[in-house]
Amino acid sequence: MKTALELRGIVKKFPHTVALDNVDFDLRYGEIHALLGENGAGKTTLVNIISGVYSADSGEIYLDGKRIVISSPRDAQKLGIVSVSQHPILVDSLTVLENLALALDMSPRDRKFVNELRKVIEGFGIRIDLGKRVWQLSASEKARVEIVKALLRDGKVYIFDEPTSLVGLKDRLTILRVMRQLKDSGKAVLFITHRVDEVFEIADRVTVLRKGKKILTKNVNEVSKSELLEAMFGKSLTDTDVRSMSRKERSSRRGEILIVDDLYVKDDTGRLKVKNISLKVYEGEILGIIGPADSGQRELMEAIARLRDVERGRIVIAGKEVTRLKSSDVRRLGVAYIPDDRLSTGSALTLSVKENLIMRDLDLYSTRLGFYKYDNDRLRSMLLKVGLPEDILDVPCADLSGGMIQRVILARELLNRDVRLVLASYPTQGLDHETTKLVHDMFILLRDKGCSILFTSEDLDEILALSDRIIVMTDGKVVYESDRRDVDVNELREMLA
Amino acid sequence: MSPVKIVVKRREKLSRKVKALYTAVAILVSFLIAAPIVAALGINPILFYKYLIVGSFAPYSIPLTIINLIPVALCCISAIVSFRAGLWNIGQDGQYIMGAVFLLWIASLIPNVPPPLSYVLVVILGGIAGGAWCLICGVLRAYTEANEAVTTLMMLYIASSILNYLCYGPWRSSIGFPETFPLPQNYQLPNIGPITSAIIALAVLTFLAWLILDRTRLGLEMSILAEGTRVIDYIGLRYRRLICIVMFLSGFYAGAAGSLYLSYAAKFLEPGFIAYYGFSGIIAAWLCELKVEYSILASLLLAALYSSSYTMQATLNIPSYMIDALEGLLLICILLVHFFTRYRVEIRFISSSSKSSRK
Amino acid sequence: MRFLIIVNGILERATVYLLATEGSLIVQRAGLLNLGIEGFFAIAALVAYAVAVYSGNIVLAFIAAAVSALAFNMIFTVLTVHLRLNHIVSGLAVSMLGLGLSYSLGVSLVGIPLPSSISMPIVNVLGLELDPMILMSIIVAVLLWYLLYRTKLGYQIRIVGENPHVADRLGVPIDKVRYIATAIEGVLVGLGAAYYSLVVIPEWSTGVTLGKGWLAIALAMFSLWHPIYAIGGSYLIACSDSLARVLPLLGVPVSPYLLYALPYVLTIAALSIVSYVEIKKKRLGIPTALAKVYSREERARKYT
Repeated sequence: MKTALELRGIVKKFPHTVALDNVDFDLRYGEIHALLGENGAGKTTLVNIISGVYSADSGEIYLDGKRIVISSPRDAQKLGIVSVSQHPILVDSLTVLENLALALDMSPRDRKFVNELRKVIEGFGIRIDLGKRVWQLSASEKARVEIVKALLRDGKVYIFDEPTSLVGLKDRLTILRVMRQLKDSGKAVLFITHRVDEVFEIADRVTVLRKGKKILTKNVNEVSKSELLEAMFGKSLTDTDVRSMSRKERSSRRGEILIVDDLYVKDDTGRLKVKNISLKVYEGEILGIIGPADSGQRELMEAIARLRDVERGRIVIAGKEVTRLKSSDVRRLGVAYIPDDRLSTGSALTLSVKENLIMRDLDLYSTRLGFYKYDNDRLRSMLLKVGLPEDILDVPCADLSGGMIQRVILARELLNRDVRLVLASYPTQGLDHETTKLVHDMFILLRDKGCSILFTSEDLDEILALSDRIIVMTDGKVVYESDRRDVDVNELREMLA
Repeated sequence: MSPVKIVVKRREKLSRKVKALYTAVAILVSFLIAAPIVAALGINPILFYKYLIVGSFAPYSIPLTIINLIPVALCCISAIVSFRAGLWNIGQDGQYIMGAVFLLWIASLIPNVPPPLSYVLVVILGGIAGGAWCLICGVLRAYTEANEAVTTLMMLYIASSILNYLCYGPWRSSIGFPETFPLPQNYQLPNIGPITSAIIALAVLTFLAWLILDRTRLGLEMSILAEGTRVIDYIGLRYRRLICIVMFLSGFYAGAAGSLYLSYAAKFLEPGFIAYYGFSGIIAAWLCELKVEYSILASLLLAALYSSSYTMQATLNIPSYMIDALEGLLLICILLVHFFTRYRVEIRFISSSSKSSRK
Repeated sequence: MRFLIIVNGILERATVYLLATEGSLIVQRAGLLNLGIEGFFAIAALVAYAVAVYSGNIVLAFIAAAVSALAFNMIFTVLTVHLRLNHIVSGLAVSMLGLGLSYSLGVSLVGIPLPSSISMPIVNVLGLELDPMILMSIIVAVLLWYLLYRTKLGYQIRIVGENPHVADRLGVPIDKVRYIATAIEGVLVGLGAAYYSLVVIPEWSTGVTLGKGWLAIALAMFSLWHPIYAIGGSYLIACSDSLARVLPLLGVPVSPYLLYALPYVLTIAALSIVSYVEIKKKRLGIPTALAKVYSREERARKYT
C-alpha cells in the first residue's frame, strides 16, 4: 500500500510542556490507522498539526512523498486533509445547509449545489434536516452534520478525532461504518481514540503515544490488548487495576449536607434543562451522577454552586437555604466547586497561578482594610500537595497544560479552607492518568474525613469505583437512584446504552 | 503552495533589559519616520530634531515639561485603571474638562476656603466630577451593555460642547475672548521655586493608584474583571458594581488632571482648554505596559513632546497638530514592540524537490 | 423655501453619515472595531479638498479620497489582523496619526476656496436638490445588505465576526475576509469624507471633521449592524445635527453650543436602548467577537 501522509521528527512545545517529542508517523492509503494514547499523550496536538491548527516547532510533513507545510486549516483542506472533530465545528446561528456550504466553500444560495448536496446526503443514508439552525440540534445530530461535512469534501486523508466519545450507540455504528466505507474506497483514515477495544474493532494498524513520545506502531493483528495498555500507561496494568480503590464500609446514615428540592433550571439559551430534581447528599458519602451527555448535569451542578439562577425549587446546604445566594456565599459555607469548564470558568488564564490560588478565597487572603497578603509558603505547600512544582507561582495559568490547570483548581478548591461539600462536574474528563488518580485519591481522602462529594461523570467505571450512591439522570430528570452495594451493574449498563 | 512560508510563533518571555531596548528603538524609529513628514511641510528635519530636544529638556524648558507632565501622567493612570480591568475608557479628555468645569463652579460659590483645604478640594472636586462623568458610561455598560469605548468618546464631545457653551455663554467674563472668570486665588496651587506644587499631588495620586491596583483586593478583583463574566460569577464578585467602581476610579484620575491643570496652569477656562492630554495618556499607558510604577517615566516622554511642540510652533511655525501625528506614529511603533516582544517571526523556505517514498 | 433648504441639509449630512456607517458596519461585522475611522476620514476629507483645489476635477477628488482612505486603513488592518494587536489602541493610533497629518498638512489649504468647477450634477425633485451621491449612499446600503445576506463573502464576513475559531476551522480565509472588509470600509468612508469636505462644508478649516468617524461606529452598533437599519440611524442623527443649525435661525432661545452635543447625546441614548433591548438577549447572528484579537494557537492573552 502506498504511503499517504508521513510525519518525521515532529516537535511541538508549549510554554511549560513538550506536547510532542520527535514523533514519526505514517499513514497509508486503504487503511484505518488508530492513534491510541491516554488524555494528554499528545494525540490532539498531533491532529491539530496535521489539520493546520498548530504549526510544529520542527519536523517535516510529507503528503504523497512531497514535502508540505500546512499553515492553516484552509491549507489542510486544500491538500485533501479532512478532519472530523470530536466537538463539531459549526456556526450556531446558521442553518445546517449554510454550514455545509461554507465548509465546502460554496454559496448557500447556489440552487444547483443545494440540489446536489441533498442527493449526496441521501446517498449516504444519513438523516439530517438541512433547514434547522445548528443551535437547535442535539449533540448526536451535530455529530451527524460533522460526518456529512467530512464526507462531502473529496479528500485523500480523513482524520477522525475521538468521534465516538460523545454520541449514542446508533450514531457510533454509523461512524464506524463510514470509516470502513472510506477505507474500502482507498482513502487513508486516521482514527484517534483512547479506548483500546475500539482499536481491535476497526483498525488495521495502531500507533501508541505516551507523554508526547511515540511508543510503538504495529499491525493490530500482531498485538495484544495488554501490550497496548502497557504502551499507553508505561507499566503493566489492566483495566480494573486503574480503578481499584479502598472502600470503607459506611456506618449508619448521618446528617444531610445538601438537600435539593423540586429544582428547575434553564440553560443559557433559555431551555429547561433540569426538571423537577430532588436529591439529598449525606455527610461522608460520595454521590455519583451518570447519564447521557448534556442531560442537565452541568446545569444542576452550576445551580447548586450558585452560578446559575434557579427557576423553581429549593437548595439547602448545611441547613441553610442558599437558593438565591451567590457563589461566594456558599463558598464560605465550605463548598468547593470544580467546574467542567476549566479554561473559561475554573481559572483566570491571564492571571498567575498565585492569583488563581487565592481568587476564590479573597476573604482569607486580605486584611480588614482590603489589602491582600500572600502567604507564599502556604501557597507553595499547596502546590506540592497536588504534585505541581513550587516555582510556578508567578506563571500565568494560560501557559500550563490542562492537567496542571486542573491541579491548580483542586488545590484552590480543596486545600484553602475546610471543605464540607465538594461539587465536581466531570472532574477527570480529558485528564491524563496521573491527574485522574490524584482527583480520585483526594476525593476518597476527603470522604474518609467526613466530607461529602457530589460528582458527575460519563465514565461508568469511575462512577462504580468511587460512589457510595449512584444516580442516573436523563433529560433533566432522576430516573434511577441506588446504593452502590445494591447496584446491578448490568442493569445500569443497559440503562445507559 | 508557495515555497516561502512566514510563520509567527509565540516566544519565551524576554528579559526586562531587552524589552527596554526594543522600546527605545521604537521611540527612535518613530522620530525618524517623522523626518519626511516634517520635510513635506517645508521645514529642515535637523532643526526639528534640535527643537524637539531643546524644547523639552533644556533647563528653561523643564518647568514647562513638568506642567504638561501632570495631566499626561494622571490621564495615563486613568487609562491603566480601566484597561487593566478590560474596560476601555478612552474619553479621558471629556472627564478632564468636566473636572475643571466642576471645580471652577464650586470654587466660585465658596471662594474663601483657606488654602491647605482648598488645595485638597481641587483634587477631590475635579476627581468626583470626572469620575461621575465616566460613571455614566460605566452604568450604561453595566446595565445595558452599551460599548464603553464608544460612549466615552461620545461623552468627550458632549463635555467639549458644554465647555464651549460656558465659555461663550453664561461664564464669559470679557467681551473680546471667549474666556471665563478666573479660579479664585485660594484655589490656585502655588509654585515651589520654578516648579508647580501640583507635582506633590501627582506623587500622592500615583502612589495611591499603585497601592490600589497592586496591593489591594479591589485591584485583584479588577484584573479578574478582564477575564469575563463566567469567572466573575464563579468567584461570586458583583460584576456590575465592579464595572462602576473601575469606571469611577478611572474618571477620577482624568477629572483630577483637569482640575489640577486649571488650578496651577490655566487659571480660567477657554475653548482651547481641551489639550488632548487624554490621548497622550493612553499612549503613555501603553508605553509603560499598564504598570503604574513606570507611568511617570512614560508620561515624561509625552509631556516633553508637548512642550517642544510649543517651542516649535513659536520658532519654526510647525503646526501643533504635527505633534499629534508624531504621537500617533509613536503609538504605532510601541504597538510593534508589543508584537515583536511577544512573537517570533520565522521565514521558512521549503525545497520543492520531492522525496521518493520509501514504500 | 426655508424648509426645503433644511431638508436638503439633512439629506446631505445623512449621506455622509450613511456612507461612513455602512463602512464601519462591514468591518464590525467582520469582528474588527476600527477606531481609526476618525483618522482616515480626516485624511480622505483633506485629500479630496486638496485634489479638488489643484485639479478642479470632482471625480478625481472622490477617487483620490477613496484610495487614500483605503491605503491609510491598511495600517489598522496590518496591526490588528497580522500583528494581532489590540483593536482599540491600534485604532486610536491610526486616528491620531491621521488627524495629526490631516490638520498639519491642511494648514496651507485653510481659506482657499474650491474652484467653481467643483459642483455636483443636481436633479431637482419637488424643489429638493438631489445629487448622485445621495442616491448612491442608499444604493450602497442595499448592495451591502445583498452582500452580507445573499453572497458567500457575506456569510464569511458574518461568521468571522461571530466566531473566528469556527470560521477558521471551516476553512474560511479569515485574514483575506478581514482585508476585504477593511478595504470596503476605506472606500466608503473615503467617499463619505470627500462628500463632506466638497459638498456639505465646501471649505477647509482645521478640526472640521472632528467626531464624524467615531459617530459612525456608534451608528453601526445601534443599527444592529444591519445595512438597511443604518439608513434610519443615519437620517436620525443627520436630523439632530441640523437642529443645531436650524433652531437658532428660527429664534428658539437655545445655545447652539449646547445643540452641537445633541447628536452625541442621542447616539448614546439610542445605543444604550438598543443594547439593552437586543444585544443583551445574547441574540445570535451579531458580531460577538467584536474587538477580540484572533490568534489561532493562543488560549488567552493579557489586556486584549
